Amino acid sequence: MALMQYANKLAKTAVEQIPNGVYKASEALDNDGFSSEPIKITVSVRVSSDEITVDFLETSSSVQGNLNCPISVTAAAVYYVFSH
Amino acid sequence: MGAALRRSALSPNITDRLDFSCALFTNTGQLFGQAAHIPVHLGSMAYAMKDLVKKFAWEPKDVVIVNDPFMGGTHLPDVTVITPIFVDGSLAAFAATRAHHADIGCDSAGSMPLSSSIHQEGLLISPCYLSKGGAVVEETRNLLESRLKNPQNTYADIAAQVSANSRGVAELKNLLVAMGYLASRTR
Repeated sequence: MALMQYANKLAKTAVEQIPNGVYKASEALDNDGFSSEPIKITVSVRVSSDEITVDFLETSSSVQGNLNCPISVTAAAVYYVFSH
Repeated sequence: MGAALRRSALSPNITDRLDFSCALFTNTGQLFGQAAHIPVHLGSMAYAMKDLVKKFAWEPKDVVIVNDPFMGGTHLPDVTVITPIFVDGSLAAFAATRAHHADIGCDSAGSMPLSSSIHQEGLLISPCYLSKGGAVVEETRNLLESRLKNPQNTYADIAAQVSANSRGVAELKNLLVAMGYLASRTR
């Protein structure tokens, strides 16, 4: 438990160093193998004090092919970015 | 755990391509230790373990298997094996491995077809006992054999995951002994 509290404190301290605001980025996958439409991945990162909200609302909706991403995998991608 | 899994597995997906991950969780399913393996495995296991561990009445020598992407899985070839760790008779932690299997019974050759339905991608395993109290659960074995093209090899690699978890259980207990929390080695 102490280890997790320490990790939490380290993470919050690191987040506090980032200026408050909304940071946005967009990228696209070529297509899903069924249609030729690019698949947009847009992320808005809102930093407020020691908290961060990661918002994928403007990302393309699910596609016919097998590139859709369940919530746990989305979370994993976010964890990975913040651990680096 | 990872070294044990790599040495025991048959599939080059595990032995050479190293598409596997190992982690340790608290008795409520919170991640407390992970190897530098595959980030998407580790993060999704961490996201889902709290819900997964609540689903079972855990007893010593149980092993649970799951690959459902809607229950914290990634894609169907990634099969997760979870082993509870009991210390002095009470549930203390969990050891878990996730590995990408060469055959999960998808419609075409390989483990990742061009598909428009998850059921074309192979067998979806909802969380269930692989073994209960040390005894193989035949229902689960039959489920795997019903869909896989090469069930013997996939089953062998699942057994390698069970062994890797056992190594995690043993080493965590060794650590508890070394730190003075456990009186003697109780494997």
